[in-house]
Amino acid sequence: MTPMTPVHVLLVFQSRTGRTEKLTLAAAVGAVQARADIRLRRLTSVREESGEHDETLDRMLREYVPPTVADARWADAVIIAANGKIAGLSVDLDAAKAYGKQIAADTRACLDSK
Amino acid sequence: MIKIRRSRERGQADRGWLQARFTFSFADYHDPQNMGFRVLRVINEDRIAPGRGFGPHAHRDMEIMTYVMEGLLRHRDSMGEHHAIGPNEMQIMSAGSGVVHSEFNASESDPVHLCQIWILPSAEDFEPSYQQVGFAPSDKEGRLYLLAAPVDSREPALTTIRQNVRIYVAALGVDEQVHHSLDPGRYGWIQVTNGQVAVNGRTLDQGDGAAVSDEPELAVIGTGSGGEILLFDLP
Repeated sequence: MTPMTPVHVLLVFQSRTGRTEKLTLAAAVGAVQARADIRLRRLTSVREESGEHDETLDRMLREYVPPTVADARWADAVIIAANGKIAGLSVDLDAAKAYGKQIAADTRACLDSK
Repeated sequence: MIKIRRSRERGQADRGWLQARFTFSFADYHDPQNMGFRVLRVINEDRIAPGRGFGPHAHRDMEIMTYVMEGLLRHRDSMGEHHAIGPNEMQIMSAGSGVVHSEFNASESDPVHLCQIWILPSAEDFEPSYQQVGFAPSDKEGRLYLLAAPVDSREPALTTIRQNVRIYVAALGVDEQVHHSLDPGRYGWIQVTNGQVAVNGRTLDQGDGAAVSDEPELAVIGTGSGGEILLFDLP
C-alpha cells in the first residue's frame, strides 16, 4: 500500500495579545493530530511598526515570519484567524483580508494559465 | 562490535545563526547509511546564536530529548509549557498525537550549545507530555547517572520515556572509569558531549558517537583532560 501524502495546512493568524495565537495553535495541533504537515505564519500590521511593543508582541515578532504566496502555493488548505469583532483592531482583519485576496488572486492566475 | 561515527563525518548545516551537526540524516542532510541506530532516529548538536531559534513547528510520535551543554534554551509549546532549559537538566517532550513548539536561545548575549535527540516511541498516538528535571552536577561525576527510563524501570530515573530505552550521563575526570553491562539483545550508543573518553580502548572526542553491538561490557574512561558522555541502552 502506498503511504498517504500528508495534507499541507497553512495557518495564518493576526494576534497582538496572544489570544488568537493560542486559538491558532489549538487548530494547528488538531491538524497535526489528523497527520497534516503544517506551517504557522503571523500577519503583521502597520500599528506594530509604529513602536507599540510589549513582551508578547516582541516574542511573536521574533518567533513567526509573515506568510508568503509560496506558503499558499504549498498549502492544500489555508486557515486564516483574525479578530474581526473589535473595531479598534480592524487593521488586523484588514491584514487578513488582504492576504486572503492575495491568495485568491494568485490561485486565479494559476487557473487562468492552465 | 563498536562502530565509531566521527564528529567530522557528520552532516552539517550553517544558517549563520545556527551551526548544526547531524549524526543521522536530518532535514536537508540525507545519508541512507546513517538513518539512525535502533530506535535512535536523531542526534543533533546545535549552536544557536543569541536571541535566535526555531519558530513554532510541529512534531508527532517522537520522544524528543534536549540536553544543554552551555547556555539557556527557551522552550514554549502548545501544551502551555514555557521554560528555560540549562546545563544539568533533562528535558523530554513526548510529542505523541501532536504538539507545536518553539525553541529559542534565551540569552541576548551568549550562544546556547545543546544536543537534541529523537527516539521512536513504543507506540503511536500517546497523550503528549512534557518533563523537565534538574540534577546536581555531582550526580553525574564519576558515575553513570540515569536520566531517563521507561515508567516500569526497576532503576529509579530522573524522567520517564515511552520506549524501552535507558539514558545515562557521566562526567569523567582523567582516568576516571565507569562500566555498563548490556543485556543480551541490547545495543548501546555513546555520544561524547564534551572532552575525550575511551570506550573499550577506542578513543572518542567531543561530537563523536559510537554504536555498540554484541559487546556485553562497556568500560568508559576519561582521557585527555576528561570528558562527558550520554549513554543510550537500546532495544
